[in-house]
Amino acid sequence: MTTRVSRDSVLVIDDDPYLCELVETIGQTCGVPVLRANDCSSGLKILESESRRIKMILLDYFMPGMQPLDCAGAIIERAGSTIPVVLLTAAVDPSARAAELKISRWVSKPFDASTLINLLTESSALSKKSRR
Amino acid sequence: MRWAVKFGPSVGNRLLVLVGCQTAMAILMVVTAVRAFSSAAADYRHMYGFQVSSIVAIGLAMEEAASLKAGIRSTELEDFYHRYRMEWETASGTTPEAIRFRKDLLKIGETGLPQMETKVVMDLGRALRKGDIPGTQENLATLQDINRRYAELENRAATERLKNARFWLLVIGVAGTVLTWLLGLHVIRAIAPRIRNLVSNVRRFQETGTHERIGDMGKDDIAVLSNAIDAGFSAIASREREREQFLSVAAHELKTPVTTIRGYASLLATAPRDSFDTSRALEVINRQSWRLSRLIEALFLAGRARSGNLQFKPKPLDMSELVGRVLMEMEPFLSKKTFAPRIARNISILGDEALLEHALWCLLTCAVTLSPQNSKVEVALEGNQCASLSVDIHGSDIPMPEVHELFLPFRSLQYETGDGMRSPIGLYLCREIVRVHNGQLYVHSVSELNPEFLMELPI
Repeated sequence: MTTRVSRDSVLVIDDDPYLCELVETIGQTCGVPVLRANDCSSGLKILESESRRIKMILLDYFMPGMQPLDCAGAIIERAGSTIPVVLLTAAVDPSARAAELKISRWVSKPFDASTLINLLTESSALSKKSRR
Repeated sequence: MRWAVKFGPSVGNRLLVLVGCQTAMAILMVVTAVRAFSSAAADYRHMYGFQVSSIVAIGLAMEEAASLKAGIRSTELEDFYHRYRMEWETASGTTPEAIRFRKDLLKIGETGLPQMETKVVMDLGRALRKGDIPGTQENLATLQDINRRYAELENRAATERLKNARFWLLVIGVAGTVLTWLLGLHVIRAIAPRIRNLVSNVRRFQETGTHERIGDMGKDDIAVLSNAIDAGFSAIASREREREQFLSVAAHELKTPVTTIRGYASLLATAPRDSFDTSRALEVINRQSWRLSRLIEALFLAGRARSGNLQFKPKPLDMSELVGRVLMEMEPFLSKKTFAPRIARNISILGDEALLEHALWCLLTCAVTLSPQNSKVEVALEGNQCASLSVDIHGSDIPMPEVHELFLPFRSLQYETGDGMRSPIGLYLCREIVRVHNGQLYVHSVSELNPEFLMELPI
């Protein structure tokens, strides 16, 4: 397994604290700092303050306190075109859910560590490429 | 009026009208035929009994008159004369057949014939009394002609009556057939398309599982049947949607702990051990496995409760201890929320500990899910007349109707709370478990934003 060090961070927005912890742990193993938010409004606050550090957003479908479409809309608007948003969902029909939120990429739960490592390292590679 | 209200346009009543109409037609035809044949038989009986017999008797009288000598009175001729007056004279006959025959004569304008008969009979009597042989013979000959004419006219009348009967039988038969056809068509038009629609709807439902409302607006049996089928199909479709929703929610709920279990397990299998906290990974796997098994058990019990097969094995148990234990087990799953317990000691009940543990998990999970962040969920257990557990939520912004909906089967909370706990079976399982304990579970609003759950179990 390759471990890459990157200054770029990934923001994970999921109401399940264990999942956020898992993403953070996987980020540790591949040298990607992970920022955690347990709901949409916290995610928006982090995105506001740390947008320069964030290279990718992993977003859960259901978010407390806000409808999925509103939450995704606000996150996508705030993220702009430079930060890709990836949907993390345990829904039976992840592609339909992603299309509903106008998100082109999605990862279906459950996933194994390598899937997430590939995603996080791809994000690091992309960010390095874009900086050059 | 009451009869009219009851006698609605049902299928049975329509068929009854149809069959009734056919029966009436048949009866009318039989009556007409019987009357016609009776009338014809009476005519012919009269013709034979009067005209033919009288003609024969007149013939014999004429032979007798021919053998007489002038001035001699014949007792046989006088007997014939009296018998003719008594039995055969049409003009004065009182039998129904004689009266009807006179009416027939009137109808065809032969009124002179009975008058002539009366005159001839009178003349015959006088001739007999005088012993006038030529006069007797002449009158007998005229009387024979009159009776021949009577026979001819009566035969014509009988034939006419038979013709009329045949005509009316034909008219009634044709009218009855047409009426029956029209009624049959009406019944077919009123019933057949609706039955076809009903059958095609049932077939469509069989093939596709989708239900389109039949919506028969009638007031008869078919409309009642259609409405019943509509209600049945929409209940099945609703159950199907509920089941799909349940499966979707259950899959989502099961995937949540599985995601972290699989993530950490694959990390343990592939990543260097010094690159992350392995003991924490194992702890999470352990906790999530436990959560997963509890979820599976709850889903299984909910399925059993739905089919009415919840197995209940009661034993004496300490409810205070059970509530305390469940609260303690749930503590690690709470984040930014706490329980504020107030539990009376040594409250014993007769119950199924495993089932009640699930019920408490469901109830407390829902309560925690409904309560806002950084709030306390007040849990109180008292044991006066029954074991009464109250769970108070403060500051909930979820409307009461939605809280009540959680008691419906397979209804889950659509909110995810960040507490690491969710109940995909709502309060349905909890209520069913309490019900088998002969207890009750309900929710009421103490004040705005303050719902309170109450679980009462007999001591």
